[in-house]
Amino acid sequence: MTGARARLVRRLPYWAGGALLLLLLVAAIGAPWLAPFPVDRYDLLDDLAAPSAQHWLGTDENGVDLLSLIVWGARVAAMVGLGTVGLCASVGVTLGAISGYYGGLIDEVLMRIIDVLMAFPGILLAILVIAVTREPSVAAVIFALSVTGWAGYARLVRGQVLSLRERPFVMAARAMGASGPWIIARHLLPNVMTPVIVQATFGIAGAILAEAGLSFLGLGPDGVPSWGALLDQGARYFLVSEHLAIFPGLAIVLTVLGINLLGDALRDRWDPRRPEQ
Amino acid sequence: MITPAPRAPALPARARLAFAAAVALPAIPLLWGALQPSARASGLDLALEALVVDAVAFGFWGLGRVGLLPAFLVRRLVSLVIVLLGASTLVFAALRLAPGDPVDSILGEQASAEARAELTASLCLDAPLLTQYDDCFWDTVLDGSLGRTFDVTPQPVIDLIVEAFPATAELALAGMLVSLSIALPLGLLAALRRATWVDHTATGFAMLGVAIPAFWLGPMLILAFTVHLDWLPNPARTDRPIAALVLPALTLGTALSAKLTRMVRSSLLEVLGDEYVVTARAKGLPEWLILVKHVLRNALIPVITVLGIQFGALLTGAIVTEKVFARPGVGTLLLDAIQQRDYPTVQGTVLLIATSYVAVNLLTDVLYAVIDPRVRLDR
Repeated sequence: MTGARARLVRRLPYWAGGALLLLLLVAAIGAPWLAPFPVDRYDLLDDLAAPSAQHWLGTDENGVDLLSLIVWGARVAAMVGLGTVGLCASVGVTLGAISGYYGGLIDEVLMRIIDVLMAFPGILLAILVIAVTREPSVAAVIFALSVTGWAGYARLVRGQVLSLRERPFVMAARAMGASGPWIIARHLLPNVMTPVIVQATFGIAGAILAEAGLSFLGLGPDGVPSWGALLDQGARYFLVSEHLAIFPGLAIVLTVLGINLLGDALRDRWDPRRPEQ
Repeated sequence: MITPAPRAPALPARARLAFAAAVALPAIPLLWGALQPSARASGLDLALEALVVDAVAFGFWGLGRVGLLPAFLVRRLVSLVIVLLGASTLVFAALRLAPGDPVDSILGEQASAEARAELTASLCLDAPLLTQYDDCFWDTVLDGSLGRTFDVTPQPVIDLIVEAFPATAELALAGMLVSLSIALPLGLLAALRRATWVDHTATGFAMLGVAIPAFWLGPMLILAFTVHLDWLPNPARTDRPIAALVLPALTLGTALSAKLTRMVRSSLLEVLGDEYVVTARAKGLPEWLILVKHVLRNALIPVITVLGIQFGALLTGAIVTEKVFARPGVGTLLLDAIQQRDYPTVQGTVLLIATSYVAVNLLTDVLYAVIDPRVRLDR
């Protein structure tokens, strides 16, 4: 294998993952223009239709075009994925950096809170929060997934900051009279961002899976097409219309696979222990 | 944990915090009760119970001091007390603080005032928060009933859980078995034939396995094996319980097997490069003996930990799998209770799942320390 080809093969997951993530974002933003049919108009004469030239992926039990539903579902997936990761990462990184830099009592208290949160299966708490929320919105789902989600970022950043804060450049900054928040923002955070970005990438995939799972259990956001809810409906008709169970799941698998590939590629690229690249 | 202290305090932060927490635990309900006279009795009750918790925690600490318990175990047990206390309070708070009035949710907004008042009282929502926490939460935990179902014929929540548990345990065990029987050989092969097509297939499977949700894999397996190939009976059939367990176990086990395959592979690769393996090889030991005696024994230790950590994923995965296959179990119980807004049952089920998860994690830690003596020394 020539060097150029080998490099191309090595970078394939990177590009494939990036392309799939881009596809998700394009579908999420462009849903109103990209979806070939409206999703709020029922056509009961054309229900449970198999895939055809007109309806590429067939129609659901109300005669709504499945492809359009999946395109709209990308919007919920992207909102929950990015929203959850954004909320978790910003809270987690801030608290983790403070905890790691200042240490002492703040650190101990925060770590015990994180112990409690991480000792709890996160999706279970999300189920609990959604279960008591009437007509849950996308924001409620994001909140429910973030209740425990930030803990992982906090623990990650804290560990990084602990090892960085004794390094000469931090001591130099401290000796020059820089304040704690300044050192955290200007010297520490830029140095811990790499693993955070890797974890956030996997986090998007995790949140999308969790949202689909909640929706499948009937605990997803109300009134918007979500891949998990489509699967839940599809499962009721899948003996007569297999496409209803196949395609929404395929959308989930491809999205999650793509994002995970990208996360793996990013980690390999930035991992100093790996000799190549 | 590294704790670089800028200046040496009289007591380490952890000990000071433990002491503060031990004082605060009974002090908070006592103070709360003093400020809110209607909840005074509950405050006193809770303060007494908190003292018992303190006594248990200090008991562990004392046993450690006189050398009856190893230090790592004391730390785990004390943190178990904190985690259980925190997790159960979280469950209590989540149900009370979440937006939306449960009475509204159950009765609808047009319900009569009497019906609302009656329901409010029976759900224990009319009392001060502290009293709710004492009478309607801890007392039901302590008497072992976990409260009474919100139903026409109320019964202890624990009875329902005990009834549903065997089906879930059966599914979880079968799922774990499936995942181990896929992951161990696959991870082993991938590590031994590194960078060949075997390895690529195994890592590809691992990649795909984590991306496929159980609620999609399940229907796909039914379509393939029951509908099209007709190899397996409909999983809903109860007259062939073993055959009906195959697809649910595969559904639940696949995601776990993907994670385990990765773990087994990377753990083996690490150990295979270690010096004692090189030594064993230099001594001329046959390859299989090296593998069994030196490599596997060490490589499988981290796998046990992952298995323990993934137990929670197995439990929550069981909820989804039970729904896919319409199987009875704790997950079905929880989902039905959510549908019927049966809060006591929701609370009890979640509490029990969380507790068993925490307990399994503790067991894993202990088992880990028993197998690997190095763990007992650090921290």
